[in-house]
Amino acid sequence: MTAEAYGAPDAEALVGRFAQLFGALAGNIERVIRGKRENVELAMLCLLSEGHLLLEDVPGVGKTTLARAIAASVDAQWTRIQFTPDLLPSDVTGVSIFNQATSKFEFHPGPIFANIVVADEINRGSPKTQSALLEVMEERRVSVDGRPQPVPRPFMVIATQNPVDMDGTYPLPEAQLDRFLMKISMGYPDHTSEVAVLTGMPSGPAVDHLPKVAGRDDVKNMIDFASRIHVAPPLYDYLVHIVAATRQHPDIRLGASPRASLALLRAVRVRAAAAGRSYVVPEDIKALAPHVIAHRLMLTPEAELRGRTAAELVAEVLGRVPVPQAAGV
Amino acid sequence: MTTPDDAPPPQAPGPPPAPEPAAAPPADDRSKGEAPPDPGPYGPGPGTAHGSAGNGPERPAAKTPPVRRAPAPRPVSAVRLGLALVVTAALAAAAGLGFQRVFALRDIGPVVAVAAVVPVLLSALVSWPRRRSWPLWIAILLTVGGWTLVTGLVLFHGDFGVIGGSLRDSWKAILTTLMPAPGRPELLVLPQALTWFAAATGAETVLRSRTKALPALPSVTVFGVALLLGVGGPGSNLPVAAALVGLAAVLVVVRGDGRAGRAPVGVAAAVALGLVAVFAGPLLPVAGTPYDPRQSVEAPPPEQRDSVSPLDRVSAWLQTPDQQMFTVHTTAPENWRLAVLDRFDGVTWTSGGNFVAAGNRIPAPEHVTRHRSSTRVDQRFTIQNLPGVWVPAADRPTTITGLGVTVDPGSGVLTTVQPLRTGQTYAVRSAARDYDADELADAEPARDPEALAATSLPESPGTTAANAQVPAFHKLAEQITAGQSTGFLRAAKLADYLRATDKYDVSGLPGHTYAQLQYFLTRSKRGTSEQFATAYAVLARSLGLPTRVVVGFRPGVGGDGEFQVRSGDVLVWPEVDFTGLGWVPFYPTPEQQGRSQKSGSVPAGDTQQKLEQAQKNAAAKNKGNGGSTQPKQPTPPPATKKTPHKATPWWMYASAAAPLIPIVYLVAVLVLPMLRRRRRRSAATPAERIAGAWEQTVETLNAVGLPRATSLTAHEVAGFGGRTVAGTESHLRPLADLVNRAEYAERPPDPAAAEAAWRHTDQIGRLVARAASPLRRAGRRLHPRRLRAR
Repeated sequence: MTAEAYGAPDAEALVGRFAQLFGALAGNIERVIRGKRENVELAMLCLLSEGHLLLEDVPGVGKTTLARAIAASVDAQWTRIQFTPDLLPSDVTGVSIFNQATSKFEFHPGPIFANIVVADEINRGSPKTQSALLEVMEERRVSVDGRPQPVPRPFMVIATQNPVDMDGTYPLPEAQLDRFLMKISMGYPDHTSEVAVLTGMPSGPAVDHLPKVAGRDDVKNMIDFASRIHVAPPLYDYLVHIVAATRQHPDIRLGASPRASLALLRAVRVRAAAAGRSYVVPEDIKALAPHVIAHRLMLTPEAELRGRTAAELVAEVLGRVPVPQAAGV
Repeated sequence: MTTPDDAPPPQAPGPPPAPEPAAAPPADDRSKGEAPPDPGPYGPGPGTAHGSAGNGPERPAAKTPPVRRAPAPRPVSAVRLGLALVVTAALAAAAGLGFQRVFALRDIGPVVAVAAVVPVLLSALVSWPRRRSWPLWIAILLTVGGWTLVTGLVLFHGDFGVIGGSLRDSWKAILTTLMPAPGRPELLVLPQALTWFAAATGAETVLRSRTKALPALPSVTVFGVALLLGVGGPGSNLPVAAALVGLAAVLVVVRGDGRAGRAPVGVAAAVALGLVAVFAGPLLPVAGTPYDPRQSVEAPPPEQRDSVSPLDRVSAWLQTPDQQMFTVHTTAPENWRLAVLDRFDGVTWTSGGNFVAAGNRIPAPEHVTRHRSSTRVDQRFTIQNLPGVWVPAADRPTTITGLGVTVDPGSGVLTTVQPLRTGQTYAVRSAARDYDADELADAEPARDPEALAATSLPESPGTTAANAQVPAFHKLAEQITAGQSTGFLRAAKLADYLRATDKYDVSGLPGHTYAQLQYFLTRSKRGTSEQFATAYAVLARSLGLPTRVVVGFRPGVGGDGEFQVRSGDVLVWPEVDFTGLGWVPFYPTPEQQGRSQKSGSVPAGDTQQKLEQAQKNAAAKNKGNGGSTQPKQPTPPPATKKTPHKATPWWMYASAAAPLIPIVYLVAVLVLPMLRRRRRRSAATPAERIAGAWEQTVETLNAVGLPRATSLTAHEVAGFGGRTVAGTESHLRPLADLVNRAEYAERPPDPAAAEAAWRHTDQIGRLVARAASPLRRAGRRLHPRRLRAR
């Protein structure tokens, strides 16, 4: 798949190739992440939407493996940062060191300069270090000593956090959460998948041996192509109605931001292309809205006391906002 | 085209039904004495009688049981048949002439003649050469086609497009038009169609049956309709009814089995029967007044007759008095009435007349016809510069020719639909009333609802109790009329007061609001007839006298029956409604000093002069009786002037409509979904057709419990359908994809996609129908939800 091909006017014909490649990537990753097709696809959607993914789950369910499998499948460079309370921002972004030979400061890039960055247990990092990610996640560049240093494209942060062991952690602030396109939970594999993992362990495909399905350029082209997927005007309305409804819900203290609308729009375009469509349908929006919106919402204390969750409220909103006619009911 | 519920049920599995036996039934079965079918008036056709037909083996004659067959009816002779057809045409013509109370005879006659003769000829010509009747549907087709052709060519002069609409609206137009209705095609089409119907059905009955009187039934029915529509019209239908009776009797004679030689006797007897009907008809006891359907039909709402009230033009006309408005040739100079304004809202006077289309004749209300004497006035108007839609004429017009008008039956005011044009001419015949001083002297104000409405005197908008103006008028009116015993005397006193106290002055302050009238009455005391008349009306209404304001013109300049009316001749005068007398004009406007001499204008019409004299005499007579010293005891509440409108009780409508409700519902619930489906399937663009297919599918799924939530996507609906009705998901999913593509894709769908969508919809409909029991299917088909689209 080349840039020329994607630049051709007949996107209808090319979207088939997009879907094919997307399916191949997801299938490749699924060889090591068994029984988690949906999560794999969501992660791929994040990558192709140029978004970032927050994985919240217990240890040992394949969060890091997922990040590595994605990186391996697209022939991308990946790094892993283990967040600890004593981690410094410069440990993430890199430092400028004086070179006596040249009598100049030279920038030594940190681990953030990779295509896929796994920020493991991000909530264990100090707020200062967490905030070091803010700029790079949104603007895809790091300012060191006043100089912007761009990160490579594609760029995706896959952060993980453990929801169980919360002692000594620093919950991610709203601004940080808002920068993640999606928040998903890996969950335990089902019985059959877990058995398949065990039986394939001695000789099964390791992450390091995963074949490369697409190159970095291919991924960049796919990102560009997805951004041109057609969205009918009523769907813009529908999307904004959904986001607006979260702001008016009595159980929600802080609704979704316009950044959420933009993020959802990017994601649904990719989902449409991945399904082989050159246009977005309401089903795309309804499918992705819980993953894209829920983690950005702040519930009222009363709603939390009643045990309501953000995912429930998003589902409630989706059940209330009318789908544009005439496809809806 | 089938709706999903209309889908044919699947073929029931099982053995195929046994084939019909090819052989004819045994001879025994055929010979059980059944009478042969009625061969019709032309006698038995070839191969249908005498038992020679049949595929069974013939049996020896000796073994056949002796069967006594009924003798075949004799064929009707051509002469009798022809005569019967002629009588049928005459019957239809007579029935059509029943409309002569609705239309003038010269209008309805030719139409009825054609409508009575042509369908009979058509039926006869089609059937005669073959000596047997065509199938009924062909006859119906020919009749309808012939009617459309003849109506389009003869009545509408080739404009076939308006026939349907005219026929649909004609009954209402007739019921809301004053009789005799004008002979316009859109009104004549109803009697024409009914007559045609009577003639065609009568002729077909003659040709297809041997009944004697049945062919007369359609004509009698049509005559009944004519009677109903003609209630209250001029003339009588008694001769027509007698003719109908006579012709029906002739038909029975002609269709009878008697010998031809006796026919003249029978015809003579029929004619005698008709004559008896003529003389016996009026003697029959009639209970009450006939039901008039016009009382049950709401007249069209009053239209805004003119953008500018003629009362508001008065001041401008008087400022430029030499503008030539119209000329009139008349047998007597009269005041030419233009508009009657009977509603006052505190600021403006408007007309509350119900204007209905009228022919040449303008019927008079009861109190006018009851009045003993009147003078006939013939006028011929030629319009020059008179603006607006109000048509000048002397009160009270009885006929008008040369101009299509609408008329307010209450006041007799004429208007046109289009504004008057220069050069238009028309002739009016009026009956100018003669007044009797004795009647006037004892007259008391009317108290019927119409009159009470004419006593309304609301305050100006925004007026509060503190600055109310009406009480001041009431006080002044009480002072003026103190000591006057009868309503008429109070009315006359008011006019005298204004004439004596105030002066005519064209330069006076124009307008007729309370404030302007207050200024006119108390300060300036100068004004035109606009102020005099409206001040009179306000004062009179404050006393409870029903009063209205009339705008018109004086007779104009000229003589010898020819008058030029100019804008300066405009005159406004009030009229007061008295019990038994109706609206009586008063003229409170004093004559302008030297105006008549200066302009050569005739100061007042004949009727005005006579009326003023009668009013003076009445006042003098009353004064002579000492009536002014002792107020007369109030008379008992006078009888209402008009026969009160007897509204048909609601329960009669309800009980008449009740049996119709289930029928209407059944038709609607079965037909509306079919029409909706057809509209959806034949939409203009493929995208609309796909959307229509989806709507149809959703309606189908609603019947199996699909919630009416608006937040379901197409695939969610498809999921529901798949879970609810087995086998539908394989159609619903592709259909949902097609709908999504049509709705949200950049490229519009092609016709093939629309076809595919409807194929899926049809399949879904069949599957949903198949999944339900016949009872449930019927229940769904009759469910009220099918009445409305989603």
